[in-house]
Amino acid sequence: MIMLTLAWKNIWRNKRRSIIIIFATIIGLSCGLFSVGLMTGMYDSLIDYAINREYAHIQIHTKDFKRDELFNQSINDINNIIKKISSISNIKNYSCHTIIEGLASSSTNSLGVKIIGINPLQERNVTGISKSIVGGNYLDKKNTVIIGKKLAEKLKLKINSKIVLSFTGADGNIIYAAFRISGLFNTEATNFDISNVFVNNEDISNLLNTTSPIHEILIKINNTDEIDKTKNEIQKILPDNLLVESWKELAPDLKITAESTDLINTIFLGLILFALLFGLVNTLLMSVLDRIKDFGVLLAIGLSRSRLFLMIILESISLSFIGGFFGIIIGYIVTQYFNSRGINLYSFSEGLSSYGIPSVLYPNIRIATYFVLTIMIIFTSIIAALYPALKAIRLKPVDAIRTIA
Amino acid sequence: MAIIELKNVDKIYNSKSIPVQALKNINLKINSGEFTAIVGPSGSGKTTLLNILGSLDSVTSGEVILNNKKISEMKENQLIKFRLFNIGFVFQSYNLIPVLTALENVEFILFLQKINRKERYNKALELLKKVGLEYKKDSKPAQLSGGEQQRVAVARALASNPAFVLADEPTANLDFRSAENLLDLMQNLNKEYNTTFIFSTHDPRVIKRAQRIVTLEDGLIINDQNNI
Amino acid sequence: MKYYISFAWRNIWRNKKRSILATSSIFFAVFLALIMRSLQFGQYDYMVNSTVSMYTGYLQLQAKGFWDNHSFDESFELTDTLYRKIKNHLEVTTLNPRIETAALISHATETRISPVIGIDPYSEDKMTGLKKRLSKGNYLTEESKGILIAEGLADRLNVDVGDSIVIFGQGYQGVIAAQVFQIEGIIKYPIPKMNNAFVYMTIKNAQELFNLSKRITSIPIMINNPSKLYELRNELSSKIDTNLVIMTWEEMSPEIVQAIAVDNASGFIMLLILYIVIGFGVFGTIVMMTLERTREFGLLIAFGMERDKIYLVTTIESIMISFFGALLGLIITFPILLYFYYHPIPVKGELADIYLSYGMEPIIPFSLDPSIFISQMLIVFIIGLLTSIYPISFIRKIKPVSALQGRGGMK
Repeated sequence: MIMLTLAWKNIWRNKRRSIIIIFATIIGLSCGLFSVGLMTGMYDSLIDYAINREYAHIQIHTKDFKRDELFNQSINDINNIIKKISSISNIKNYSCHTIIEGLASSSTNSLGVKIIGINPLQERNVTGISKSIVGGNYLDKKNTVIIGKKLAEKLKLKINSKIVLSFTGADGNIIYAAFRISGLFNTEATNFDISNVFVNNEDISNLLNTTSPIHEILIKINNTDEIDKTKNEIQKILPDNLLVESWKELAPDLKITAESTDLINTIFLGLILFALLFGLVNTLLMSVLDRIKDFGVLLAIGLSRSRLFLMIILESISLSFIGGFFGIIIGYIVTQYFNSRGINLYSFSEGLSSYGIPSVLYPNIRIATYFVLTIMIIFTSIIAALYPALKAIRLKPVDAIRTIA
Repeated sequence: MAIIELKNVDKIYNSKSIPVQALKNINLKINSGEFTAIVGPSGSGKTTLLNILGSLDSVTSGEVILNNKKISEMKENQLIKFRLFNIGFVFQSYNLIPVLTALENVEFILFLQKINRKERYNKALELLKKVGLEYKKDSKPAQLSGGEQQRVAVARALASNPAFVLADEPTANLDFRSAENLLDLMQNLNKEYNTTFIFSTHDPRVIKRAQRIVTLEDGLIINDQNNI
Repeated sequence: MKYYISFAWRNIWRNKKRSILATSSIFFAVFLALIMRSLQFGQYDYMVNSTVSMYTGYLQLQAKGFWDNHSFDESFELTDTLYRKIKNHLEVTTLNPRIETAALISHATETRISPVIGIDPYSEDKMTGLKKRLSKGNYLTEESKGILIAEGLADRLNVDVGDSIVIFGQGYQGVIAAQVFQIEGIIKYPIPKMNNAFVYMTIKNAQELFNLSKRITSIPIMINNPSKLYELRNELSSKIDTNLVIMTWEEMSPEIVQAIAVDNASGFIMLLILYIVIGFGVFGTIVMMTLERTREFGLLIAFGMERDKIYLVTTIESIMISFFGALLGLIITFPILLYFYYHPIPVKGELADIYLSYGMEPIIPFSLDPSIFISQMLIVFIIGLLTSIYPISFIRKIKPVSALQGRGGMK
């Protein structure tokens, strides 16, 4: 304890010098933490949005459909399969999709789209489509369709306009059907918006004169940490011709993003600390050189070299601890402030939201990051003190005392 | 001919709320070629007087005429230039620029005077010869003894062809032999080249050698006598 | 000036360890920044090049409105004069006239919608390397009557080389276009989305099928130097008719622009923070250097050195400390970057698959764009200038009398 008090007092012997390095630590760590928060927030929401928009947590298709996406490669005995899936406790909600490649035509233009037949009530609990309606209503009446706002612009259509969807039925006949646009959706992904339209499954059944085939089951789960376990559980109880995949397999680029975010953030914080290391070594070295005479006296009156070594290490730790403490606190406060308020990117770059990046960012720092950072700070401060401390204990008392300025 | 003239000079320091009168009604005239010691116990105002003579410090009232120029009328930059061409300084210690060699320290003043490279080299070397240190011209201050450093400092003080040289306790940090050597040197320069020296000191060896002794006490000149 | 520089130089080395530490911290920052920026910029160029050469081209000549509507109403005639006007520009490497539309492709009971592209087999291959992607059959020639079809689409239609398919669509001025074509070759794309679409035929056949006579819809243009994109666009735009327009890849692929902007910004922020931290370290060194020389500054002023000259010396010192680190960083990093520029790092494992799925070779390329180096030098120079403020403000306040007694910065 005496060593610690001594170390603390020594830090303040040259205030200006100590304050500069403390300031550097505070700025480096708080800015570093905030940008880590930004990255984490951005990539987390990129993944959340993608999961919420199109992937859900887990999807089931037939293996054939995964390969060819043909109309007749649907999931057989759907009711039985739903019953089996529902028995798994981690399953929160599911939604069954009919997926047909078709053409969406207005009087001026026609574009290839994926027609997705949904049960509007089921879908509401699984994807965010119902929440991304920006005009009109979610599927409400018979023979209505919701399409992306950007698709509507391309086709020069408005809410309540008529749109013709055409696709090939099971027997190879081309089916033309007129739908009314009940609402327009707008997500973060332009591509998704212009290539998908949603209709009620029942309307498809009516057009086909038979229950519409289900090609895809989207599943949301409760505990996302157990996603792989749940996925395997589902795969086990389902027939072999069905393929169960999590979003990580469906979107491997997002998986890599998710996995590398924390690593990149840690490396980044490590680099900041490495940069601080130079300043810290410099400060400690100067402070040791300034006090050569003191050390000589201390050694002469019997302070052991290991004690002296410890004292300098403690000085380094205290010095970085002050900076680290305030740096982390400020980083935390700033991140929390923007986390509750959100950073509106719209004001920085107009139209950013249309490219898959959410327009409002919520920076977020994982608890683990604080722990890792604290350990890294202590580690850095010890490394920084090694050379100056060695320098101090190699002194011979007589020489040291003789050194005058 | 008087090169230094102080008329009714007062100097008051306003340190915190208590004003300290460091110099009281000083009248002093020093002629070219004099070898003058300013003596007195510490706190008597020696250093303040020397600073004023060096135009480093301003006076509270009175008039300072150095080399026929009224100091109080000059601006900071004019003063700097004035010092460069008129006054040589030798300080007690830490006197040389540590990163420059002995020769370069002398040259430095000549450089500031914008004298060309070749001329300043020759002149600096000549000055080092005068102080007997040309064989140490490439040594850094840290490699020189205290006495040697002070001799280089004297050479440097002479480099600008000053009207007078001010030396603030030049022997204070020197041992007996070095001090004697330095004094011999200054005395020779004074005799041979008629260089004016003014030094503050309380070293009896220095006082003994002075031609004129000005004694200060509590900011007053209490004695001014020729020492023959 | 030379004198001041050598004076400053010696002052720096007065305390070797301290200056080496400060210099090496700058070295570290520059080293890191150069590698990071080179990687990022290399990646961007590579990404852009891969994407634009895969389909859109750096620039694309179209009739006004075609990009939004994709209809034949906005087709245009490619005259020799127009072709030559663009082709003769020195920066233009390839012109690749195309007819782009979508149509129904049928075989037996299967029907699919697919982009149908009329191409000049030679220039298409030159730009996109289409011939290399041929997995079966023969590539198209000028005289070919048949089509190339993407592998995934062929699987879905259950067709192979030699089979016939029906293309059914809408031609120019609302004419119905329907014709049987024989499959001459199968194209394999690494990107599933592309592999499941695309039918290619010669421009001549497409013009007949869609009743276009001599009209085409678009001309992707490849250029020598992507950094001159906008300059070139403006130059070419001034030469063409008002009903035509030249789009840049940035307009055609805004998602890539955005991805680059986000990545670039995050890289920039990281480096900024790093430089701030390093800057503080250097600042600390300069403060120490200044404080311990208080007496010396007093001495210099007493001797008659003007303050401006002292500022000059301390400023040179500050810039030198920063600049040597930068120079060292440059000297050491440049050969490393040069090596990796010619030997890009290969990517392995899962990441490699992702590269392939985007149709990119799994390598990590480096860039030697001069702007990377210039910007780091500039940042370091600014750090040098900023850190030189302290000594100046300190010396400005110095009174020679108090400084000589070892008391610094007192009024």
